Amino acid sequence: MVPQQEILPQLETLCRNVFGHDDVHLATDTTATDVSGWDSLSHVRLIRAVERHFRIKLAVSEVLKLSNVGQLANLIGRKVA
Amino acid sequence: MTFHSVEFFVYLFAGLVLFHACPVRCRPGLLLVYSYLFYCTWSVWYAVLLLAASLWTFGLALLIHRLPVGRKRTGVFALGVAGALGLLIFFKYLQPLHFYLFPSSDTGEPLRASSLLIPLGISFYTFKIISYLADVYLEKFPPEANLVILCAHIAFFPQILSGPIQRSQDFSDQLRSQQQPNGSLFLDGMVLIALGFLKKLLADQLAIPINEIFNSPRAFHGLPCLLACYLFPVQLYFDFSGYTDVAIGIGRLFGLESPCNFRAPFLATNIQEFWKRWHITLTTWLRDYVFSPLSLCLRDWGLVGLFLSICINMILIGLWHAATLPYLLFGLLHALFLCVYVFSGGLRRRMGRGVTGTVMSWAITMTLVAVAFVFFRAPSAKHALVLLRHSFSFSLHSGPFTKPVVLCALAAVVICQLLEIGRMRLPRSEVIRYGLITATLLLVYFYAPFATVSFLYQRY
Repeated sequence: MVPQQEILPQLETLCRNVFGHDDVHLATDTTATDVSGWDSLSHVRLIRAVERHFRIKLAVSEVLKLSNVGQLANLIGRKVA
Repeated sequence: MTFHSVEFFVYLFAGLVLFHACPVRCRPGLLLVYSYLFYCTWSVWYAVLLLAASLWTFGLALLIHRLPVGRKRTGVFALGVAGALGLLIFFKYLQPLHFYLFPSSDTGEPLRASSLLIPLGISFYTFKIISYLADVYLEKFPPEANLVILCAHIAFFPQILSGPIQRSQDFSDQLRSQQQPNGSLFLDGMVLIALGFLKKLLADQLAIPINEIFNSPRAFHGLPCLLACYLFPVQLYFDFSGYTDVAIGIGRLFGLESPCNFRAPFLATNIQEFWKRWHITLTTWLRDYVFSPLSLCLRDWGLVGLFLSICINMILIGLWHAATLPYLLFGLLHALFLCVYVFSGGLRRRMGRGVTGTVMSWAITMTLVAVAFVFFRAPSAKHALVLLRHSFSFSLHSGPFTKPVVLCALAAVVICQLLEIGRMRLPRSEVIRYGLITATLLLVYFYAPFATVSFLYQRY
């Protein structure tokens, strides 16, 4: 499994591109409500961006279970490995 | 028994004395019995139905938790959701659908299967059930092991009639960690109940001219039609947020915090923001259990998938109220507004936004909200179109609206918005707070016998 430390900076860049501003600083316990512009509409765009960037496919149920950035990074890490 | 009746206050007072006198471990049971007794004052049979639905949910959630991930587990979850939706569809939509499909059958003879009145609060408690099953299925938290707590959550009497739609985990955590009575929370609850009733009083005053205009729009032109269009959302806000304040306030008297439903919706400067501030527990429910799964399923379709997800979500918001053409149009209009808003994001960013831009965005948003709510309130789509057409004719005669009512409503709505965003605070002085509570009790005592209008959302 690819460690969180490798995934998080890439996720941060993706978030900045999707949400359209640079004020994104992710930690493992960051949730959508902590980041400006991260709402249900931009969440779908972020998931698409994650899938394209990491060349993975996430199941809907896997995405719906996520409750913070750490869990998303772990999921990506498992899929990429 | 309605919230604005003297009997309810006596019932509430007795419940509070019992609740705070009994040991903490017995409180869930007492709350359950008290909630069911309240529901039985409306209908005993529907209380049995509520209990059956709760037992069914309790059993299925345990089964979902025990089964390994796979088809069988998904099947049990689907069965639970289908059961809750089936209940909702049978009681809420079968009768209107029957009359749409077979208009000739509307001879005044009631249908056998669906002639029953709608079980009170069914739209709210079925949503609680579905969200609970979905959260257990998605392993967001384990199923509730205590049957009494789950049943008390589903039937919690301040929320059963019109929400707010509280998530199971939030409720049961609070009920488990109940402490001794908290004086400050208790007083806050009383103040909130007082505010709720004041809002309801305002809503009822606004309802008089608004009902007159909406029921016979052909008789009015110009200003009164325009006022009715713009002030109906304000009336609905006072009515529904008033009810919510009372429900949250009663919850606080029992030491339980309920989620808020409104956060200054009239300060929204775009339609997406409006829906983040209006009927929050319904919109977040639909976001979590309809929009998110749907938009994720359709994400490979790009903008078309997003457009479809928004449309389905907003149409469901409309039809959740009732399966009629005006509610469908209400949902469709909001879907259109939201799609235009989402797809014009790039253009809006390029245009930038100063004070003038913000004021214009606010005015446009409020106008769009008012237009959509005309369909929400009008008895038929025809009435709505007539009212909108007549709003454009020139007449400065204010019709049934009186200046004091309009000015009072506008001042009150501004104060409420400022309170909700925290720019204004209620005085902490206990003298003022107790004064407000006493004034409200007197208001309820004198006003209740004349209050023939129930809370609007009670019908859903």
